[in-house]
Amino acid sequence: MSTIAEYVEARELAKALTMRDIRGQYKGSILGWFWSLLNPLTTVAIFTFFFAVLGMQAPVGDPSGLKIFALYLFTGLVPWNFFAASVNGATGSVVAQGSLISKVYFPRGIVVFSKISSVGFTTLMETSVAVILLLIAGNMVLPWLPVVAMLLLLQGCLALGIGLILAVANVYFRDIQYLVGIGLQVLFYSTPVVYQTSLIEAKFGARGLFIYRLNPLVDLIEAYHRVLYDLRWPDFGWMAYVAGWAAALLVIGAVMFNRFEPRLAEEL
Amino acid sequence: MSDAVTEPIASAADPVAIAVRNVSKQFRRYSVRNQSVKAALFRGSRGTYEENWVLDDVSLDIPTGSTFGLIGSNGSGKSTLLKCMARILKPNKGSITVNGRLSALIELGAGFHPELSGRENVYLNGAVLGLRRKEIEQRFDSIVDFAGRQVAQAIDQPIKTYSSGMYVRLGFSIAVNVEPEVLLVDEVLAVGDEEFQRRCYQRFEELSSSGRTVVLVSHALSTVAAMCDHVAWLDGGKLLHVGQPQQVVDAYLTRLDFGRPSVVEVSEGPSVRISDIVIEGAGRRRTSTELGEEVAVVGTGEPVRLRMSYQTDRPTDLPVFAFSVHTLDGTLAANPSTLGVAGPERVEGTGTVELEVPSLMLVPGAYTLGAAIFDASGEHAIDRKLRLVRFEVDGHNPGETRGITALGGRWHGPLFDLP
Ligand SMILES: Nc1ncnc2c1ncn2[C@@H]1O[C@H](COP(=O)(O)OP(=O)(O)OP(=O)(O)O)[C@@H](O)[C@H]1O
Ligand SMILES: [Mg+2]
Repeated sequence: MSTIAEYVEARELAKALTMRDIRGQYKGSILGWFWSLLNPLTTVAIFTFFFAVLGMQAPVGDPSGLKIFALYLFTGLVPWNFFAASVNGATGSVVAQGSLISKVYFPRGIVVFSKISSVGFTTLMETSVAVILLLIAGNMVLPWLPVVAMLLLLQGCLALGIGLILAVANVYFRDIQYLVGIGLQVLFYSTPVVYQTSLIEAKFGARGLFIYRLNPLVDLIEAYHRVLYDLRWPDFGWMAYVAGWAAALLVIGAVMFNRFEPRLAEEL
Repeated sequence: MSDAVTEPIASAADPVAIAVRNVSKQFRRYSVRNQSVKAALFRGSRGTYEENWVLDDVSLDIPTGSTFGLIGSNGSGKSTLLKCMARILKPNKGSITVNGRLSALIELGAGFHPELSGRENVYLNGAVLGLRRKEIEQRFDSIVDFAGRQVAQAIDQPIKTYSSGMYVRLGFSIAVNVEPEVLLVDEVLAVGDEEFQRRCYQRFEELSSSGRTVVLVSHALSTVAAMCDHVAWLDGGKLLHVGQPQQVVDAYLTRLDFGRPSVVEVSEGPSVRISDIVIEGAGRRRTSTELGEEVAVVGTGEPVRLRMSYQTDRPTDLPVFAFSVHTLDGTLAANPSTLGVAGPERVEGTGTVELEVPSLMLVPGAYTLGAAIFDASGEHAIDRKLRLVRFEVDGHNPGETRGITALGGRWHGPLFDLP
């Protein structure tokens, strides 16, 4: 079990592991950064193409008046990728760093944390691209950036809580990693990344929408759409609800991780 | 090689660097292990295992500033004990207290990332060992320097291109240059070449003479006996003996040879102590390239005098005096003693003992001189100072440069004289 003081002490290591992850990711590929952006851009291109073929209307930003489907998708896809990649990466992080864990002592939560922060770094890159594209399209998003930062932070906490739980579980049950992959796929379609929440309301009514919104990711992703695409504040009530989830998962994750931490080196 | 001078630890540290108290460690030995949710759900359990005690009630104090050896057969729990000290593993019972910053070389390249360059890995590894970036920057040159020329040349290459010896060099170099107060080393130096191993052992000596503690796990028993000032023997997770290196190593070897445990008697606090050791040859001295300090130089076949001074706390009967000459890789080259030859009935106060050697028949090379005082039986050391004085031997006979002993013989047969 590690104390908070030990984590503060180990911040240099967290930094180094994050940098190692970031560098390792882009080393060995000449196109480096470009590849990391190619992935979301491809997804955007594919969905935009099919939605155009299907004749779907692009959502209209309120009050921004923006009406570009690709940008709507991009503003949802960037946070979604952050969530998916950080949960996925965090789940495998402890097992992946097994050789380090069985040879050196440090507060083990660092590996989960640094995985999420290295994904966060990629997210910042993608967010910058999104901001530039939005500015080109005429959306003045600059004043909203502090809100985006808050959202990213909240999301990081949520991912850390979930990641701590899954990382430990994955040490004992190695197929958790696959289950997480499947779970994320289901979540992708039950979250308003490619479509709008109004679609759910139209199909399932107000009650259906309420149940739908119990999934904390719904309002989290929705918040990015609102702030970056619509240029308006997120729904504060629901944001508090999301924050509640993040706090609860963080506490549960920390307690569970600390409980299993001393045995990790020998179980790996 | 300009090694960073190791600063002595300023504060008068605790006399005990590591206190191990009744430590027991158990591993699960799984016969069936269900490492997937699917299997666990279907079979209704995570597996069946028996509990296997790998460390059994081990208690031991490692004195600050000592070089402490840990020996024992494969699977006896040495690495496990070291990992418990390093907090990598948590003992099931008992406690371990470590005083001071600890750096552990459990296996090399912990935290090395194969794709990153040596340079980047130095920073990463330094962080793993608890150093701030600035601190690593300050030490960077001495780290690379100590690792050697090969590594220095490849420092900007990805580490996956390094040979395993280069891995060890870099890893070890980082670990000793972070200036740990306690250094744990688990059997990793064997991969390094002769030259590097020598420098490592020399570094251990520097560390311990500046008040730092080194715990060394090794199967190289002669090295352990020569390097360490205490040795512990683990057997099947139990601590069999702790004490004088040569005694414990001998007991261990006896066990290996005769298959029965032998008893090591530990003598009480020393009554006679060695206060100084001197080697006196023809008076030549030279600055050693490795040490950067003056050492005595003796020619093969020249006369030398070995002298030790002693101090007695209380009168001691029939002491046996001995010198030991080691090669740098820890092989005992000579071990002359007064046992059955000469010696006083009883010593009191202070005094000196001298051994006059008419001709020193060692081949050219570097050696270390140590001394010991034993009790009347010649078996139990009262005091021992190993490898205290460094000296070098040079010679003019190109036909005798290898091995340890020069025979100084004369050749006969169909020979010719070189001009
Ligand atoms: N993670 C683990 N899980 C289960 N058993 C383990 C684990 N690590 C070590 N053991 C067992 O503990 C025992 C002691 O191992 P340890 O590595 O401490 O031996 P050692 O004295 O270092 O041996 P060697 O000289 O070969 O390095 C062995 O029987 C080993 O199988
Ligand atoms: Mg071992």
